[in-house]
Amino acid sequence: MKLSSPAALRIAIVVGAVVMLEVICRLGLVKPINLIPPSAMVARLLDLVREAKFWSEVGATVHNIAFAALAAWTVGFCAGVVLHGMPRLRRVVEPLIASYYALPFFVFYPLAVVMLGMSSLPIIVMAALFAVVSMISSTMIGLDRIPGVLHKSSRTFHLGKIRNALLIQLPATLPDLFAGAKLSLGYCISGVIGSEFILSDRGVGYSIAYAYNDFDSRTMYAYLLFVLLLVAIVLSAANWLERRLRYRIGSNWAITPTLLRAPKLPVRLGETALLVVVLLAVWQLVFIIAGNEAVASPLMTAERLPRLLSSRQFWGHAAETGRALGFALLISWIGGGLLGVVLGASARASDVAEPMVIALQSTPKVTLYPVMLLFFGLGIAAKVAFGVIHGIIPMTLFTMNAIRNVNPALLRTARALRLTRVQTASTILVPAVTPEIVTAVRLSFSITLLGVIVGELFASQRGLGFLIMNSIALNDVTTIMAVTTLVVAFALAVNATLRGVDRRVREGGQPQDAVPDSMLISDRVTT
Amino acid sequence: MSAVTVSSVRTGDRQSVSFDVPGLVARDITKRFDGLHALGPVDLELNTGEFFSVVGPSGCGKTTLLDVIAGLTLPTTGHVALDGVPVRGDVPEGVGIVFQDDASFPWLSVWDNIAFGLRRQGVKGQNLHQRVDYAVDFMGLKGFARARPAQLSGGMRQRVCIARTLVMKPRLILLDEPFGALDQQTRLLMGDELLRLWRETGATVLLITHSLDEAAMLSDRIGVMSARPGRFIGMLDTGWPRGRDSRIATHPDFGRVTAELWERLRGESMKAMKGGGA
Repeated sequence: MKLSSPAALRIAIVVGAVVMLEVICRLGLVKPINLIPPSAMVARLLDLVREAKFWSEVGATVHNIAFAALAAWTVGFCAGVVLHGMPRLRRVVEPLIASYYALPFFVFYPLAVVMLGMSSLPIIVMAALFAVVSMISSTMIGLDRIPGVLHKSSRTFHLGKIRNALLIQLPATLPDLFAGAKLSLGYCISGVIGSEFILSDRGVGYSIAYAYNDFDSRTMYAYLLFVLLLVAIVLSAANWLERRLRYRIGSNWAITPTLLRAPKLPVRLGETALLVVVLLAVWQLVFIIAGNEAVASPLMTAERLPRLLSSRQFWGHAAETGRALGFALLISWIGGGLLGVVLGASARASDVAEPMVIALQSTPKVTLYPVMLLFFGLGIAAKVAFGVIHGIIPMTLFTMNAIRNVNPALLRTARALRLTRVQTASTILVPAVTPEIVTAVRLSFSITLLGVIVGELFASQRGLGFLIMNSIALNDVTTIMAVTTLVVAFALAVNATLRGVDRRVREGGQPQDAVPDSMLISDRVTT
Repeated sequence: MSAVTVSSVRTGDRQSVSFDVPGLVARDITKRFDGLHALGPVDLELNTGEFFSVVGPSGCGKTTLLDVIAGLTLPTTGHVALDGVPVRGDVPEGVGIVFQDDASFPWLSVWDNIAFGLRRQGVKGQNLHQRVDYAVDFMGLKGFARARPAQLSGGMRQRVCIARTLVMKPRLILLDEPFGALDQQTRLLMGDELLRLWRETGATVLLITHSLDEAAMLSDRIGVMSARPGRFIGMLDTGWPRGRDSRIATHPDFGRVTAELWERLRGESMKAMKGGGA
């Protein structure tokens, strides 16, 4: 490795950051209760690994991750194959898949606990549900990618259905299946540790929350370090395997979804209505099975909504969440945008930065909330900061790549036309990067909302997340459902609007809609 | 060497031709996609062992015609028969197809790609190795037998696909722009290989190509298609001897063949262009 290679620079940056942290802490510039030197984190972790209790917590978390991942892989693969084979059904559920990761997912966790009790089960179910859609998407994309000419070839060799599946379709989709499995694993890790962290009595996430509540910063940071190391090792191994697989298989086929032609408006409305009815029916079924102790029926929830919406208390909480979200978005969009422009303008800077930004994205940030609380206190600032660490990353990444990937021929054309710098920026650069920026704004919105809500769920005194947790304490299931429904509706509505803008600015360009969000940002987004 | 003979297509005596003849017979083939009249009506007869090429403007339905003949798609009207056996929506045994697009299996090595079809036929052991090794060799892929398609250039990948089909010694070889991804010199050499193989195996060949030179160099007979919906508007006998190779391009009649093809095709290509064809 050359000393000036991007990899060497990255190592230098990480080592430099660690050394700087060490110096800042040793000089007493931050209070030891807020941050401890990296060397002390390592020392505490080395103590911890000698304790049986540590391994019992790790064991619980690994057990949950393993079961959740197995469930997500199996169900996701089967569902992906079925949906791919039934284009009509696929079209009906497409909106659900497209907006799945726009949901502030952890908002459902308290519900899962109420329904399934405080055990491993709600954690596994949550994590599996969180992860399953990325596996479904990857499976469908993998099958979409198989070029028509391969199907024709399969027929010239007289392969039957089964041999075609085993000899052509399976190997051809393998890279995407692997990417999906990796992505799902990331979601499972986040889902499990995040759920444990919000509400549970065992596991690594629980231990972090416990240490935080116990003012034991040393132990908290040691566990955080462990999580970072675990994620780094697991994802590096997965990335290495994936690179090998891509190298061996190396398919670079375009995605051609077997979606049917866009239906007429009445058909589309009918299909959407059908989807809503089915979802409501499932909800009602869950209510019938679980009983009104655990779940409120759709009707009960609908009846609660007007009362909730007319209460001053609700709007106070909504305003608090809205304020936190607004500030967080502003900082994410502007900060991430500027950072992206700066990094994207230099090929070298983006070469060095990209893997680091992606790695940051893959880290389960949910566990970093105590750190925010330590630094910013229990008020709005911590929530904003937590929202920002979520939202700023996709914004930076997308802006950086948008700037970097501007077709050089366009810039040469600008020079050939003797455009000034300002003209080049306004007539070439801005229109060229706009679609990517719009996508970045959309993705960044979803994930910032998730960050803010998670923050409120874990520890806060105001906001919609707090309202949910408070209702759990009061055993008020109907309010939990009503608030959850409103948050989900808000997330979906904003996402749908931004998707509309996204489509409009991409008109005539590549059909970005063919790629669901979870694949679009590939391994870039995990909370 | 005989001079070029050009004839217009006869369509009147359809009933007089029986399906029960060796070679390929296609009768009254048309194909419509969602109301778009893409092809036909087309009538075609290929004698066993004949090398026949189809030229025509972009989008005239050449590939659709090949798909119908191969049994990959059903015609809207008409029938196809190979050696007296009707072709109905399935690729008949003994038909090998090389597609325009890269159809190499990226998860298999070059060697395993070429062996794929033979293995499906139950060929194994010494016989398999001999045949595949020979194909690897004559396609100029020696040294790349263990490589994956991703490590090869587009042209080399196409050679893998050609080898994978030809190694099975099909009695009817259908080629859809197989040399499109290759450079000019390689095209000429591959053309020679194809001619040699055709002579050795006695297979019937149907080649679809954009290149008038290629059609003129390789074929016994060339069918010229109209703009969409594609129909045959001319048949041209080249009269070349069976033992020909790419050097036939230096023959005094060669220019006359290509000129005749272009004469027939020029108006149709203009139509296709104005009609929004590629």
